Amino acid sequence: MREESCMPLVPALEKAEYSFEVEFCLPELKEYQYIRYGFTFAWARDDGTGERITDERIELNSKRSGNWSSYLKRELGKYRPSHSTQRCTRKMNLDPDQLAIDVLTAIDSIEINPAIRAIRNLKYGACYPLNADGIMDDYPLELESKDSGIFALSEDDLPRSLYELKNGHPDKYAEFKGIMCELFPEIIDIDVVSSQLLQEQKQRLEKQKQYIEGAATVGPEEKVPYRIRDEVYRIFVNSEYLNQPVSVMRMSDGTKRVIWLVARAVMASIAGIGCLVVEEVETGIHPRMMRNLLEAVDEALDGTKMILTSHSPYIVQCLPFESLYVGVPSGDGVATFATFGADQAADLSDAAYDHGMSTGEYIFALMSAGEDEEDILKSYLEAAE
Amino acid sequence: MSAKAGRDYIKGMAFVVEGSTERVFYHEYLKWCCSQTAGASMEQLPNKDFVIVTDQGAVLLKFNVMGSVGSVPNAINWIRSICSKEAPHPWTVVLCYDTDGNAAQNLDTRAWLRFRQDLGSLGLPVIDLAADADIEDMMLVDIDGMRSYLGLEPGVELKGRKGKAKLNSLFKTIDVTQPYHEGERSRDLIRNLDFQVIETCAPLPIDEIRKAVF
Repeated sequence: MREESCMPLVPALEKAEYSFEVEFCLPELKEYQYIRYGFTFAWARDDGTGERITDERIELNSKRSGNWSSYLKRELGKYRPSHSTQRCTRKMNLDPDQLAIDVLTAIDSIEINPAIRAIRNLKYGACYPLNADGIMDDYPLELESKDSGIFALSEDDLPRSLYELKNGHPDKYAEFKGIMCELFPEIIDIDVVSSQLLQEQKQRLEKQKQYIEGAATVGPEEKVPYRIRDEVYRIFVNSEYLNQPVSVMRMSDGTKRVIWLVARAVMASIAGIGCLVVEEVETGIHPRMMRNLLEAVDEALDGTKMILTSHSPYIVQCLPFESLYVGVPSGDGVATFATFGADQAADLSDAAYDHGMSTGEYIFALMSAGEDEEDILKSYLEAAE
Repeated sequence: MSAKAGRDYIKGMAFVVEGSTERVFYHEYLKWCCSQTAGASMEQLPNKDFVIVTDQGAVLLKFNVMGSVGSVPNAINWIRSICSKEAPHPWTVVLCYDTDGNAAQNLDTRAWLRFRQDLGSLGLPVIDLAADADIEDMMLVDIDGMRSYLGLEPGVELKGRKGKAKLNSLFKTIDVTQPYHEGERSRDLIRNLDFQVIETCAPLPIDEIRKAVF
């Protein structure tokens, strides 16, 4: 609510609240296996207003269809502890900036507690660096607070995550290698190795650390904490086109992004990531590889959902029609996303064919041609949400 | 008879295929057909077209590989173009693609349907080898040859819904870093298959191609 980097800067959203909603299924929860959860809050404002949760919803069901039962009446400060309790009757005290799930998770005795914990344990992975160099970085000086390891899905040290995968989950590591060799037929092997820092390297880095800490301070007394790693990790690729294995740092940005995407997909299920978000998936990757890459990633995800953003007609062409969301252009700078009508696939595909284009190309042509074309595009879409 | 000038061809075969593995597969199949036909031979022209020379004359073979970035709507223009440029010999169109189940939800599938309708309006004979299957399903018809090529025991099971996934599972049982590769890299495998078995047992009538050429 106070995170400035997330606050909307568009005047049209000046008074808009932030809203989040998720639906997922955990079969082991049986009667409560289908879970819908959402909340809405007002952003903090300079005049001291805002910064409060304005709505929160918990709905559970034994099946996806039919009537969902509500287990929270936030405005009344009441919740429903189990299915057998007919209504939200139990009271709870909530601060304006406090989520109900943060309170309910501590009440072990209520029947819905496992579902509440499942909501709180939801994890998301976001993969968005367009320049892949940073995520392969083996520079051994880092911020102490930096997350590490596979379970953090840290963005800036993929080699270390892969090294943990190799040692902790050799079957998954083999899967990663298999996919890489499938996507790049010229790759003979791919490996990740660790190296201990030499004493003289540590001494040199210690001087750099002292210099950086001296220059970077948070407040009058507090220095930004850095640490020197004991080990560095590097990925090496052995290709039939090369006379020796090379560090992945010497490979193209597109290759690095494929390594990163496949690795994240393979690790997601181990890390308990329910949803992986990948921005501009096509950046630096040859269009001819897209279909195979998406198929391989889809298989590797093993139940984890993936949200892709893309400006590529080739990506659109590879995806199931019902899974597409289109960012609808608007005059006020606010993007709204809408799906195509369920019965529109044939008409849209026919129109694309009549224009001599693939459907993916046609969608982007409509988005970029003019207002009339935008209206045509909207005629294929369900009402924007 | 010269095989270099278009006017000398007695007929033409236009292959519209989904990927480069299909081209490799049908190229190898036709080479095998030539080996089974007295006096027949096959050569490749500098522009990558193929010519089969038989006792009756030369047959021109052209391939249009869609690949990931090819546009199905443009395939009909390609057909029109080669028919007009390479006339007057008669053309037969061979279609080889995965229909991929649900036409309503798969954007490519819908375009292929429209392409088929447009082909009908051109009045050309069509050999339809499209099916809800990968080209690898066709290759797996000779499963014994496949296992023999890979050095696998007869009992090794196939895993996966479609041919490509099944084939990949076979390859990975040997070495995870040696997966199945599509396209030109599959040629050695395809070359080792028994096309007699495939032609006899294939779920699609590929012998229609042989009948049309020879």
